Amino acid sequence: MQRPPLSTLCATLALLAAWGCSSKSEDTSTPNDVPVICEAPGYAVDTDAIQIDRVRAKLRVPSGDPASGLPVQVCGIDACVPSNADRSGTLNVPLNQKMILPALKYGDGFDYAELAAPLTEDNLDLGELIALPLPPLSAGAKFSKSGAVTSGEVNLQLASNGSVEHDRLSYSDDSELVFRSVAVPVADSPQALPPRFGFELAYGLAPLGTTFCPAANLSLKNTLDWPSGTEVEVFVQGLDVTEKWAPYGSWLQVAEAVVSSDGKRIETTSGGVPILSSIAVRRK
Amino acid sequence: MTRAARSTRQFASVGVLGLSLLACGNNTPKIPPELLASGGCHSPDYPNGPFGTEEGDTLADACFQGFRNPEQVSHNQSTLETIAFADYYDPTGSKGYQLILINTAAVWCSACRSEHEGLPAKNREYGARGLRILSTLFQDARREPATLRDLSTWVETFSSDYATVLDPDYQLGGFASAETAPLNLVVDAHTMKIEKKLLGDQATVLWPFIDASLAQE
Repeated sequence: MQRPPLSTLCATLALLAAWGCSSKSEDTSTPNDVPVICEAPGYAVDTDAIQIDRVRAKLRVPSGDPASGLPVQVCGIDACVPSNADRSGTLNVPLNQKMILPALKYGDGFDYAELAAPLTEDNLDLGELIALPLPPLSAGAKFSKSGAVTSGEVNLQLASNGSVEHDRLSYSDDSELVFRSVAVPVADSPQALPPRFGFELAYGLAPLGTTFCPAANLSLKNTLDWPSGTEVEVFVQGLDVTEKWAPYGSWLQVAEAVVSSDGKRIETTSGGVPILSSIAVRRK
Repeated sequence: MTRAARSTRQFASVGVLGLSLLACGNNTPKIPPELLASGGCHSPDYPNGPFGTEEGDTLADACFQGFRNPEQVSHNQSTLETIAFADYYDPTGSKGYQLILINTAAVWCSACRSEHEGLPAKNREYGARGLRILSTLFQDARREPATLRDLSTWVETFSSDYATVLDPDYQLGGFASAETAPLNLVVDAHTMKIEKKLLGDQATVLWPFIDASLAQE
């Protein structure tokens, strides 16, 4: 969804919001341990519904095998229709209805990372999509009230006086409330990670919808060997149609980061991750 | 299949559609029997058929297990009640009911969640004018039939102050293509005729319609 003026506004708002309730990586507490209050900025805008007749895609897992039975949703901010890929990974969802800001959300945040590919009247056949299995729950990292939580190449630092709120409706079992991440093949995922953003690294995270107050500091392994001091921008994708933390189906900058002096990590310097979703980064 | 057949019988006028929907559905059959209230739903005073699923049709009665006043009770098996559409039928106006808003929701449906964030306020606004809201939760986050735990978390998350029930065998599936959610039906409490049927959270259509309809009463 091309909405440059809105994107700019959203990015500014998000950074300001994140700035207001976050702090630098090396100091995750606030003076005098005063409880931090974080309010979702909200990004809902009035948009007209568009006609969605039929959505098609071919879904496979990174090994190349079909993503048989992969759960998907065709969701606008006003209505959702669930479906599944068939045994060959083919998705063919007849809808014949109007939706506001429709997107195909593939993956479910349980067994697979969830990503959103925006739909337009001219773009209802999405071609090949890569579904990304999340690590098993047994490999997930438990959240503590503060400190680090790590899965794979992604590390989150939670403030000592902050709070973590999970989406208990979706994740009703405590065993599901563990941090998991999977790398997204950026070049092979242009539907969800539009090339115009210039993303170079991306990850699918779970449990979806978990919010952090203040926003969590992020540290990523510098897998692309960017030079020390390289400035980086961090984005989250809006997967929630309430658009409280990010515009639905789009990407919102939430933090700035830099490659550490030893060149091993990419660490946020301002802002942070307010909600677990899919994240992506690009060099400034 | 017997449960499916029971549901389909209730929408006999659209039997072919109902059967096709059941064939496409992905509900598992592992629904606790105590949550299935569709059997034995009978109210002698309910309007006679034919029944249908479109605007102008008479709504067939259906029964569910749920909380009639979720904000007034603890949320467990012992406080579940059988709630029927017939409970809201008010031919003479003696109950003070004018319109019934019947709504479907599922945990996986983020549009449903968004809608429910605003429903308590609408219930307070329009309840005094004769609107009754009955929301049915049919699936969980993994698209399995909704359970008591889902229902309890749902009403607590949204501070629901209107009747909210389980529909694990998706009795209202006959009203919507596939499992599109949410679905909103505005029903005349005096006749049980469907006045408005809306797929999706169409707040800008739904609430002016309800407002205007109540103004005419």
